[in-house]
Parts: sequence; structure tokens; C-alpha cells
Amino acid sequence: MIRLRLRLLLIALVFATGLAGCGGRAYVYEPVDYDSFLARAERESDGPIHIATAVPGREETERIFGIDLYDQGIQPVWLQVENTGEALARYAPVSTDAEYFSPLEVAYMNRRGYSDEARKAMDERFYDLAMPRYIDPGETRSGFVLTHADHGAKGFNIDVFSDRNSYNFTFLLRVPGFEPDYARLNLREMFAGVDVPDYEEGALAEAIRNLPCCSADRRGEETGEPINLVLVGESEELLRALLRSGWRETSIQEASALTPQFLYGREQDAIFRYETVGGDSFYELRFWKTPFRSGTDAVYAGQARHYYRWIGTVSRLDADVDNARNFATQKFLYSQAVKAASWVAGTEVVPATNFWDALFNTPYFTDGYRIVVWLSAEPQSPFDIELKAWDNPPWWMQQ
Amino acid sequence: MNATIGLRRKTCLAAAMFVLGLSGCASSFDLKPVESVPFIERAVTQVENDVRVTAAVPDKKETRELFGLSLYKKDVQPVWIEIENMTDHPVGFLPFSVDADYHTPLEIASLTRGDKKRQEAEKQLFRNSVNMWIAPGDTRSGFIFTNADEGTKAFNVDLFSDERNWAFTFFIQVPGLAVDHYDVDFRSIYAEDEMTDFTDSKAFIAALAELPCCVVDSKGQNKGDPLNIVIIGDPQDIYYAVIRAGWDETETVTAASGWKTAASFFTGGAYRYSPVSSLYLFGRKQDVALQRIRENIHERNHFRLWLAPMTFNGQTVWVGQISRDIGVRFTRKTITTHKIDPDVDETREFLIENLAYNQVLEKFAYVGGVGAAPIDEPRRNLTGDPYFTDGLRVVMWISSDLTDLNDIEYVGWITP
Repeated sequence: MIRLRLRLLLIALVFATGLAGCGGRAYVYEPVDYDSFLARAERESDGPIHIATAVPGREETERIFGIDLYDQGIQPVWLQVENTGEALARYAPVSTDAEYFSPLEVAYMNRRGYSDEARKAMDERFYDLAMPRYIDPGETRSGFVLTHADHGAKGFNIDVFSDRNSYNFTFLLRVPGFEPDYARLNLREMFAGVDVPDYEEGALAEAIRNLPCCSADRRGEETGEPINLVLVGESEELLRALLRSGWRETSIQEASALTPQFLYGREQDAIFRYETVGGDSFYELRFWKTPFRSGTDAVYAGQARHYYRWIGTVSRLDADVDNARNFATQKFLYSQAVKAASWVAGTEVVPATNFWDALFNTPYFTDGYRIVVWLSAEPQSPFDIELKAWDNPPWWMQQ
Repeated sequence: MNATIGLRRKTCLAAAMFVLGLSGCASSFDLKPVESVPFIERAVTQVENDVRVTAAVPDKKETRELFGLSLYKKDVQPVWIEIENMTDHPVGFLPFSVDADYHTPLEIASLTRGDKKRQEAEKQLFRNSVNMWIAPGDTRSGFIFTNADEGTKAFNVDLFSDERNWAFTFFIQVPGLAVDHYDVDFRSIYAEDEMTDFTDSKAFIAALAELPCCVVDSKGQNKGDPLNIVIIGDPQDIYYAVIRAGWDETETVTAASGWKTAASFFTGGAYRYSPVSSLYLFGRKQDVALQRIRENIHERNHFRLWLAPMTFNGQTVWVGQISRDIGVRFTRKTITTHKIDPDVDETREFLIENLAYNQVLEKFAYVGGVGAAPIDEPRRNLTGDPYFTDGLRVVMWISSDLTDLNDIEYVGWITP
């Protein structure tokens, strides 16, 4: 009885959707214009591995795949890998997007309304366009990886493994049809031609201790949001570490909803966000390149913040800013992006009781420490990092 | 926060209280002492290199008793952890190891109603959270707010000092869910004379290739998904590895869980412990069933393992099947079933990278045994889903220490 009813229901459904099972739309797409990709591709080489990559815009994607993938939050990345070495090489799509879409999954998601033949053609098309994982010695392979769409600039990593070596690339591409993001990193050129002081270990610790306590508002008055995370590394390493550990560059609309923060008389050079599972809270990192360096490494003064959903779309700053600092550090650590870490006493101590005491009415509390993280270009096991004994860890501070 | 929002919030709260029959009236927040709630009797203790870690997990009811909040309804599960540092160095605790998306005490406090109560909750929850630092000779305890797991709560606790590191794995049973893993006594699966230990890789490769190609149904008649995964290692290390890589144990199929899946199918909501139907190998259903959730139930990976009647250089060998769900379909055989990605090799390769990027893969190789099925001549699994494959199984050695991506060894047995 139930089964009969179910069948009738199914028949009705098929009828209602315009006999989708019998006829249905044809699947139409255009050939890939590889010359166009190659002409505009960004290229990088490391040892025997040579990468060319480009990101097709919305309309180009629709022509290639026959479906408006951007509309579904999916963005293909085109990739070409040449292996001039003597060992088999393997590309890892999870390096580009840890939750990448598989080709046939996306085809399946889009099967509605197409005829059986069209569905088969779509499966084949998506499968054929996929970037293969293995690249034989002397070979060049290319294809698309289906990633989650990013607004503004598209930043991603490409990891290729060969002969117990990893070749790690970071790209930041402009996507046709998108407004360039205001926060586009141009950190390499910052202070170019300026002779910034170079600090060795001890002097570096002192310089980091002496960074301004907090960011300021537009007029330069300190608003009291502490500088609590300092990153040391080249700008590529910084970007790479951020992308590898799941941070996303934030668009101007999202960022402008929050209070602007100034340091060295300018707004942050970069702002990144990580939304937690479930979407009830997010972490935010703001960075300013400091006017000093350590050897070839740049030094970035940063703020780590945690916001949780308050009412409706309003988010509230988590007063425990130390947690945000610790969380961000662990996120780098577990993404194998850290080679060394240290603590320095820096900002003013704000006891938790001040936060709850109406007399003080501070928006946060902190143990006053800054965590300093040396970023690693090579993947580094989290249990294998150097702890530099600058200032004692704040273990006696805990209430 | 500006004044308008404050006012709106008050109005909203007033309305909410009225609707809820003034249930928010209790103006004080009162965290009960852990000793007063029986969950602490299920606590598990581990000691290693002068550090003791004790952990306990309250269930739904006990959580309400402790906090006066229905945290499970918000998918939040408190885990109580006590760390005793018997070394001469400060020890650091990494909450990220317990849950990479843990909730903060103040975030949880914001779930209370009323400014006074919230402030009280903030104070108490903050003071009862786990400290990141434990001084030499000191003992610290507190709660960490994780994303809810029903049934067995499996998590890692990573600690460090300037001298050494600790990696603990806990499995704590929380009443409320039947989990596959705990139905199985791994030691009694095989008699001693049924086990073969291989030391020669040639003979081992041959033995792996001779394993059945695929899972079968309960009657052993029809062939299903390909067995394309082999895992070698110490069972504890394997467990640490899969948890670290984001896999959850799953609920076995019961009528109630079937309805829960159906509900999440219609709402698209995330029911994380969606059951997997049983598949068979060696005359029994899977010994361990895991899944890794993606954005919603339509997108998850299923992973089943069976202990094989062999060891390799003394280490246990597990044979498994992995599939990526790309949608839920209704079938006649089970209430709901999952349409799988027909490109099963893609899913297999994903697992290699999933484990590698979580630093738990030591080396890997390929062997034959599945039998190739080209894309234009696909085979079908037990629910009729087509799949195609190059016919290889991947063999993965799980490391007992964390392994850098660069140090993973590719053993060139067969090249895909």
C-alpha cells in the first residue's frame, strides 16, 4: 500500500518536473581555450617542478563547464604541472582547497533537468577536465581543481611531492570579473628601497617588546586593542601559512563592518578571517608590516580577535583576546607552518576582573603577552618546533 | 555595542521571556561542582612521562545539571580535563588538539539570558576553563567546549614543554549511541593459528592482492564496493590518526537513527552520526565504521575497516572501503542510502592526502586486487551505484610519531 502510494508520488513528481527523466535539456559547453590560460597564467618553478596557473571568471567557467559554477560557490582553478625531474610527482588537491569538490560530485549536483545522455556527457566532461594527481618524469599535465569560490583575489597553495621532497607554491591571482580586493597583499614591495633596521635575536625580542601596545583609531588615539601576535617570515611565507591553515582574505564589506584599526598611521596591511564550523563565530587577524626586519625575514605586528554571534547578524568581541592569540598560533602550528615560537611581555596586563567590574569597563582582558611565531616555508611537524626562551611563558598568570 | 542594539536586545529579551513563561527569570548562573554530577565516575586517566591527564564527558542531562544550559541542543559538548604536571618544567596544553573548532567560555556564556546572569556565567565559565599552562608540581582542571559527539567521545590531548611532547588519545563512552567499534572485541576475532605474520614484502603483496575484491552483502552473495584501502600500524596509532584527520565513529543503523537521517535529508541539516549500513567481509560486518562530515549530509565520506587475518612485521593490518557521498537517494533496500562518487580512486587518493596533511602517514604503496573497471564499463555496488577504478588498493603505514609531509615515503610497489 505504502509502496504503491510512493510510486504514484514518484510518477507525479516526474510528470511535474516536465518529464525530466525522458527528455530533458541537452548539455552544452565550449572547448577550453588553453592558449588564453597559458597567455595569462602566472608561473613559478622550484627544482624539477614548473607550475602555470590561472583562474577562469564566471562567464568563462560557464562556457567551459556548461554550468554557472560560481553561482553554486564553486570556482575552478586551472593548473599545469611540468615534471622535469627523474621521479614520479604527485599533486595534492587538498593543498589548494582542503574541502575541494570532486568532479563527478559537481556533475551529480547539476544533473536535474538533463536527459540521460546529457548527464553522461556531463560526467565525462567534468572527469576529463580534472587535474590528474600523478605526473610522470618528463611529462606535463593540466586540468582544473574545483575549489570553494573566493571573492576578490584568489589565494591558494599548490603542493607537489616527488622523491621525498615537497615543492610548495603560493599564488595570489586576480579573478576576471571581480573587483580587486582592497586588502590585496603587496607586502614584498613595502619599504622597498628603505634601509630598515635589521635585528638579531636579542635586539629583535626588545623591538617586539617595544612595539606599540595597541592599535589606534583614525585620529591616532590608542583605542586599546592590543598587538598580541607577531609573525616573522617572508611575505610569501606569511600568505602561504595563512592559506594553508584555512584563513581567508576578508572582503572590504565584511571588514568595514568592524571598527577600523590603525598602526603606524595606516590601516592594516592585510586582514584575514577564519569562520568556525557551524558559523557561530569567527577569528580575525590583522597585520601591519613593521619598519624593521630580521635578516631576510619581515616582521609583522598582528592582532588576533575572536567574535561570536550576538544578536541577529551582530557579532560581539570575545573579551578573552588571549584565547584568540592562542587559537591562531595553534592553527598555524597544526598546519605545519611554524618552525619556532616564543613569548614576550609586551602589552599592558588587563586582569579579567577589570572586564567584569563596571568601574573599568574595558572591552577585553589579557595577560599582556605577545606570541612570536617564525613561519616555516617547509612543512614542519608541530611537535618539532623550537621554543625560544625570551620571556618566561605566562604560566603563573593564570587565575 | 551601540545603544540601539542594546535597547533592541532588551526588548527582544523581554518578549522572549514572556513567550517562554519567564523561564529566564533565574538571574544567577551557578556552575555545579563536578563531583556533584555522576559523569565524573566515567572519567578516564592516562599517565605518561610524569604527566597525568584525566578526562570525563557529561551527557545531555548531566550537562544541563552542571551548567543549567541545554548545550547539546546547540551542538556543544563540554569535556572536563584535569592535567597534573609532575615534571620540573611548565607544561603547555593545546586545546586545538581536542577540537580544532572549540568554543570559548565567553561564547558559551552568551547563551544565557540577561546581562547579570551572563556576566556571572562569563566569570564562572572562564575560571573553570582549562588553563593553557600547568606549573611544575601543579594540577589544573576545567572544561573545554567542543562540538558535540554522541556515543563515544574520541579526542586527543596534546601537551608540550621545552623538554618533550605528549600525545594522548581518549575514548570516553557517553550514554546515548551505539557505536560499531565497541561491539567488537578485536582480540577475539581471530584465533592465534588463523593469523599469518608476513615479513617478506613480496609474499605480503601477493597476500594483499588475493584478498577479496569487494565487500559483500549479509548473505555473502552479491559484490559491493571495492576494498581499496589497506592500513598497517598499531591499533592505538591508527585510532589517533583517524580522529586527528577529522573522522567520527558512526551509529549503527537502528530505526530511530534512520528517521534522524531522513529528517536531515529533508532539512539539509547536519546530523553528524548518520548511520552507515553494514557491509560484509570475512563473514562479518565492518569492525569500525567512520565518517567525515563536510558541509551537510549530502557531502560526507564513509570509511569502513575490517581487521585482516594477517600482520606485517608484527603490525596489525586492516582492510577497508571508502566512499564519498554525493547525495542521498531513497532505495527500497534501506530507508535511505547514499549515492557515491563513481570515481572511487579519487576518494581513495583523498584519504591518502587527508592522513598525510594530518602528519600521521609514514609511507604508502599500491597493490593490485580490486580489478580494473574502466569508466565506460563501470561495476555496481550493492545499492546499484556505478563505480569505476584502476583496480589498485593503497597500502598506508600509520606513524606513531607525527611525520612531516616531506618525510612521507612512497614505496614503489606498483605505480598507478
